[in-house]
Amino acid sequence: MNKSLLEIIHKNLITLWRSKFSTLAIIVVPLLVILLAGSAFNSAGLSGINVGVYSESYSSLTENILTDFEENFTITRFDSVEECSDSVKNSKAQICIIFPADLSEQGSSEEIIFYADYSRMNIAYNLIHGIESKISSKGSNLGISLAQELITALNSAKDSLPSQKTNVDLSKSNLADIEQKAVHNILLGEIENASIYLNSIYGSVNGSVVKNKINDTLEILESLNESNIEAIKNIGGIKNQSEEATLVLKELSDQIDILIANLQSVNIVDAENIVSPIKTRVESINSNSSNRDYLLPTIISLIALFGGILLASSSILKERKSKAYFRNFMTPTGDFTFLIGNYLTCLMVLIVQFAFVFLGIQYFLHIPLAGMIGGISLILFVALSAFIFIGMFIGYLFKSEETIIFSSVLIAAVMMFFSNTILPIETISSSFKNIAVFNPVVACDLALKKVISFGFDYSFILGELYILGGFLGFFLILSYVGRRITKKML
Amino acid sequence: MGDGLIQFKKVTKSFGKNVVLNAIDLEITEGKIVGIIGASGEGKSTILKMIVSFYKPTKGEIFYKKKNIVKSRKILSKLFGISIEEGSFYETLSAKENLSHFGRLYGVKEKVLNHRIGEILHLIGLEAAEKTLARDLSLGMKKRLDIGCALIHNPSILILDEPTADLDPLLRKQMMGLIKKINSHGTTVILTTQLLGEAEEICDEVAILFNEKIIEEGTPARIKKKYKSSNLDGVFHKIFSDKNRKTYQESAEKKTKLKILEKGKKKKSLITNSDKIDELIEKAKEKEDSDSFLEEVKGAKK
Repeated sequence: MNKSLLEIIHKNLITLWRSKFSTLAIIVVPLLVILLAGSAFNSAGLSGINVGVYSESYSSLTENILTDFEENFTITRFDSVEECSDSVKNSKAQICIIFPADLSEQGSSEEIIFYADYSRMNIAYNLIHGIESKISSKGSNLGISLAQELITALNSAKDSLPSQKTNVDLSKSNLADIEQKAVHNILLGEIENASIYLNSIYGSVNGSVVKNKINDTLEILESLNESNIEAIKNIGGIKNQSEEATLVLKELSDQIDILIANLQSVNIVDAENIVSPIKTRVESINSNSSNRDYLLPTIISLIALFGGILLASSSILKERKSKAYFRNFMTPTGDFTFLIGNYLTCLMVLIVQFAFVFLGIQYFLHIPLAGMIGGISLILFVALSAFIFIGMFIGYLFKSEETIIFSSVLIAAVMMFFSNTILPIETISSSFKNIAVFNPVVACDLALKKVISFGFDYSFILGELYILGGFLGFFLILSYVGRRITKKML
Repeated sequence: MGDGLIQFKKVTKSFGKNVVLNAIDLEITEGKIVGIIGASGEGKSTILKMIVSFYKPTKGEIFYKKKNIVKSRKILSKLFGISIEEGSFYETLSAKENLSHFGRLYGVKEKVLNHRIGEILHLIGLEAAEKTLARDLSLGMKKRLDIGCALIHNPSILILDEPTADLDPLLRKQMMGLIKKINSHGTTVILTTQLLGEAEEICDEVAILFNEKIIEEGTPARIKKKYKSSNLDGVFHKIFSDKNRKTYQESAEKKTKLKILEKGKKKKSLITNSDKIDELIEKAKEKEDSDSFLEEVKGAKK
């Protein structure tokens, strides 16, 4: 490293050190950001949520659900649907739930309605999901109870059907016996034979008494014959009916067989399987457990973004506003040396800043980063370099302090908006998304996530490093051109 | 002038449509104190900044010992030291730190740097204030520190832009003493000033810049003789005679108009400015004190 370069860095550091407020800001501000963010986001769910509710009539089930809610949310009951939905509009409640009056274990003809403020996109989905889960869980419990009753009834049917089938089969068998035993034409011939015999002896007998007796007997036989014929008819009818009944019983028996077979093929014994036949479970791919841990790569990226851009642009502005700026151009020291000198000074300051940030993370937030410090350092080195050169370019591009600060904040804010910080970039329109994936904040955030959250090695972050490297090179050239142009403006 | 250490050959410098210098020829002799005098805005500082290659000529060439200054900028940059009117050093560094910083940027070897800093501090009389931050120094001290920064790499030519501007008479005298002292060590000094008495007292040679041209150059004695005047104030009086007045006025109006047009200002302010210049020229005829005259012209043009 040449002496001029060392001298420029030395001078920059002395100048910075003599500005006590700047030094303090460099160390304290990022630490404060980390501590505040760490404390604020050290939770895994939603807290302090006000839920507005309304129902024409609070059923026992509704009360039961609300009791569950009270464990996590503050419940406010309103007197009308309008009041409840207005409470969301004026932020008194984050969500409003309208329960139908007839909500019961047997179900309801109406739906449970949610009023949510979708303009607060980041919380609306979370909240609806959280509350719906609770209600679904309650609904599932009710469903399980109902399904359990159903299963019990089915099991009872399954148990009783074989014995019923036996009864049917027995009846069928009895009917078959009846059919066999229904002999109905045996007496007809004998009565006829007896009549023929009596008619044959009628001429050979004398005496009216006997003849009368024969006639009486013949009449009896005639009557008997008629009764017999009637009985035969009846027996025939019974037989027919018996045959029909046998057929019905056979059919019944077959149906019982099918029912038994069907019931035996149903293996559900658990009511939960009927209510939720497909079970799901979400496994986190992160070993971390709180919002703070998930946000850590983003927080680090944002500190690098704002720190890099603001420090570099303000240091260039300071240099340009300095009386010595003209003399610097008079020395044989080249523009590139000044550029690199300023870049290295900013980088060194930011390294010190991040050393404090990581100490804060280690000792105050108790997140161990020592094992991945190599990967984090590499990403931060490239990202900080890119942000510094962006800041330096802004510093050379504009003249006034106000414009430079405004532009720096604006550009950093735009980069932040089009990153995953506020909303996932997947939620923005595809044309912007295609650009946003090349946002250096997105690249830095993704690379840090891969290293911090998933423990990936260097080969997995090459894409992000190339993007950051591209920005670094592009803005290095622009900064150099900018410096040359400012010389002409002196 | 004798053998030219620095030579301007038909040099024109314009900024956009505004021509500041028009085909000027100038020779600067080695080892002398050369003053470039003229009204404010005439292009004195532009000449100095072209010598150090900060500005490139629009037309023409500038040579240092027959080497083209623009083409040999890097080699020649160590030969020049420049101090501009507003000063050029770091306010948050001490006097010694400023000298040390610029010494290193000029590539002064570490072995000689400390000794050189000592010499310069002694020369500019800031030994007692070496640890004082530049922002805490008095105006005169700041001027001297700036000259010290320009001298740290031991240049052959020291260029001073309005070195005595804003200084009280006592500090002005001290500054002139310092310039003579520097020159006595063999350093060629090129300076600009609006104070004609000062130029007459200190300069071996002067070049008078008027209406985009060097209209006179040589020793003050020769110029005074030519204009039959006992001092340079009288010379200026004659230059601003009726014969030249119209030309000057037209030129001043043209320059002002260009500036105003560039800034998108209204014609009204042009008329007002032009009238004021006219009034001041009238006043100059009556006044002996050309210093005060030039100060007023400067104010009007601003």
